[in-house]
Amino acid sequence: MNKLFYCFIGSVLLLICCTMNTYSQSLKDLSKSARDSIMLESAKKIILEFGDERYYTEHINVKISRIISPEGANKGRAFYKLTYEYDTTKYKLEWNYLVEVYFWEDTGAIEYIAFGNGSSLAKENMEAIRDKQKKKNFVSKVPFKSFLNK
Amino acid sequence: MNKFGCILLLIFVYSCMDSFEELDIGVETLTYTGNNEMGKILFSKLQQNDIDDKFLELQKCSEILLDYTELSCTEKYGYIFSAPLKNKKTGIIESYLIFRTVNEADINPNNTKLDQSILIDQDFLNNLNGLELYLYSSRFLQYKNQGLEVSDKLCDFVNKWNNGELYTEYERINFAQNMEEYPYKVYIKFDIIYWVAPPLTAWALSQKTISDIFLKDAYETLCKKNPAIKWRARTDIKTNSAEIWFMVSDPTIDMKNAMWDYMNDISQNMRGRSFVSNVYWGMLIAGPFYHSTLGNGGSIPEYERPVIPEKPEEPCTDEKCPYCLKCVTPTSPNCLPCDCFGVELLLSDEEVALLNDYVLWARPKTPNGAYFPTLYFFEMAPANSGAWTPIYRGMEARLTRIATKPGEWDIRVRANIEDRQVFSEVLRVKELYPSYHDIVNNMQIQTQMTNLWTKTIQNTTESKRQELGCYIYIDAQEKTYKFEEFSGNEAGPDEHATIEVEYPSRESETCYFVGFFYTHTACTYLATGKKVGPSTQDIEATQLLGVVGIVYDYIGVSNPYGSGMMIMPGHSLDDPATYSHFGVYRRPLN
Repeated sequence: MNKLFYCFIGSVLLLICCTMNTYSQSLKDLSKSARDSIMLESAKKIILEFGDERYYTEHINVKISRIISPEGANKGRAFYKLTYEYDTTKYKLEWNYLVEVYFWEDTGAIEYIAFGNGSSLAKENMEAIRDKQKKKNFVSKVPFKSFLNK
Repeated sequence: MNKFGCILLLIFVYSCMDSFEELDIGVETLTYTGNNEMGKILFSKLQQNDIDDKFLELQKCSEILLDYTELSCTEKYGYIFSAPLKNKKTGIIESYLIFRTVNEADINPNNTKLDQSILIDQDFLNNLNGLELYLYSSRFLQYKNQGLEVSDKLCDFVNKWNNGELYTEYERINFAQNMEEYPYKVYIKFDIIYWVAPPLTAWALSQKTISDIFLKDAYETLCKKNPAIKWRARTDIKTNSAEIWFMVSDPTIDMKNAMWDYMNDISQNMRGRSFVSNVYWGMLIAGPFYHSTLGNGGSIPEYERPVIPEKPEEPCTDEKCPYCLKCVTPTSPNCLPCDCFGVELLLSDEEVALLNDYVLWARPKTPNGAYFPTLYFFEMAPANSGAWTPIYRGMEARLTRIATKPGEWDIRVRANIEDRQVFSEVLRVKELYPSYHDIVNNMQIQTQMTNLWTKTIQNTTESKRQELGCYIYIDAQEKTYKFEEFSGNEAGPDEHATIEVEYPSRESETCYFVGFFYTHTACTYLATGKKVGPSTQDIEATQLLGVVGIVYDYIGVSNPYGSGMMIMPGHSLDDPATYSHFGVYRRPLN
């Protein structure tokens, strides 16, 4: 019984650690390649979690930029913005990107994601959707609407 | 036998001697009893067998006419004897012979010795051109003038030359095409006489030399220095003369000094040539004729500078102003125009947006500022076109105009005062399409935007939402804004709500498309929020249309990263909203 209990506790801790590593790892002290790799992996997961898969599969380039928050409650805090670009001869979305995914530099957390059709999700919106999905209240993914399809 | 043999030998020797005399072709048969001194000398030279084989061969078919023998000098061969050859069959002169001499023929032609002969015929001429051709072919013309029958073809070139159909290279520069165009002419004639060995006169100066001296110098000394002097020149081989006309288009040129330069230059050139002994010349300047001799120390004659008569002033017969006594409608540059009356135009604005007004104000100018009843004509025309159309006619000096014609316009006022018509200066005004701020500050548009926003909110339900919009026009005739509504797709919660704009068809000559407006939808019933404001597609659309774009949307909240505004899902439909601008600030003028 004790063994089973410790195994369960260990598994939970491991899962938490993995989750923490995936979504919330400080990006500050990482090398560029490691940081980019972690961000790209996390971004992919979150895009596919909330959006039509084409928001990820149709990207032709990803631009990564480091920005200091210019205003608001987090003014002065550094973050990374990953901009997924698409072939504008093939698609025409409401915005000129597929997705923008935002990472805080100090925590590595994603607290905002904007899709090319104009839809955007803050941290609480993502959690709300996850809750609904857990409760099996079906929430569809962000639709992929293009004005120009080839 | 010996005696017989001796007789036979003598007969043989005698017959051989006859044969030797026959070989001396023609010379034995050539006789001359004429009076031409040069003919006699040449005949004696030929009798002395001082000849070559070519001449002997020619004697078979041609007859040399020693009566026409001349001793002359050429630059190429020096002193030569020349004599025409007549074809024995046709009797026509088809060639002439020149015999070169080996020593100074000018000192004593009798002592000179003949050198090789040269046949001048059509073949010889064919290999020549320009002045050399003139030199050799002119002798055929000379024979013709002396009464001999000469082939026309041989004189063709020299005839053309003398008729002015051919020009030297110098004549092509500063050449007076039409002498009649020049009122002032200077005419100079050079008569050139060469005393070679009296009483023998000889044509010693080749045509090329004459050209070099007179024509080239005329160009270099006079015409090249002064473009107002044009020239024509002709040299006459028959009279050994050169004629030059200087055509002067500017009578103020000091022709006397110019001619001094020229004559000094000529003199130096002449003195450098031993065969020239005397030159004299005459000059005709705009009427008076002067003649002088320029041997060694001739002088340029004085001449009267041509006087251009001044046109007499015509008395002014124009109507005089009773206030200033000056000309009302001056026709002569000497008239003093009356400026008692005038009109000035003032504009309140140089750039005015459509449907805004501006003021045109005519300010009359009268003697001592006195009042005169005045009729005003305000006129406008597309910029720089001069196509004036009236916009007002009446006694009012002040006109308030509402801008209704987009474009750049010239504006002027014409005033009738005291039976005189005066014009103002032309002023420029731009009537512009309305800017973003002109549009959103207009109450009519604000009401329209608010109505559509309200309608957008009212139409938002859990199952659908729809963007609404309108095209904004200015109706120039009714002087008001007009709208044409359009709407986007009815989008479900999982659908993308959008609206498509295109260039509206209602635009006409009096109805101008100036902007468009549309609403964004709420996220009240959505799981996701959205970014606030015009999207990339919105901005591209307005750039394509080239008009002002306005979007009405919720104000929203800043996203967590402070890099833009977003609308959170589930927000209240009554959250604050406002309009914002995108695209061009103002539709540009065409």
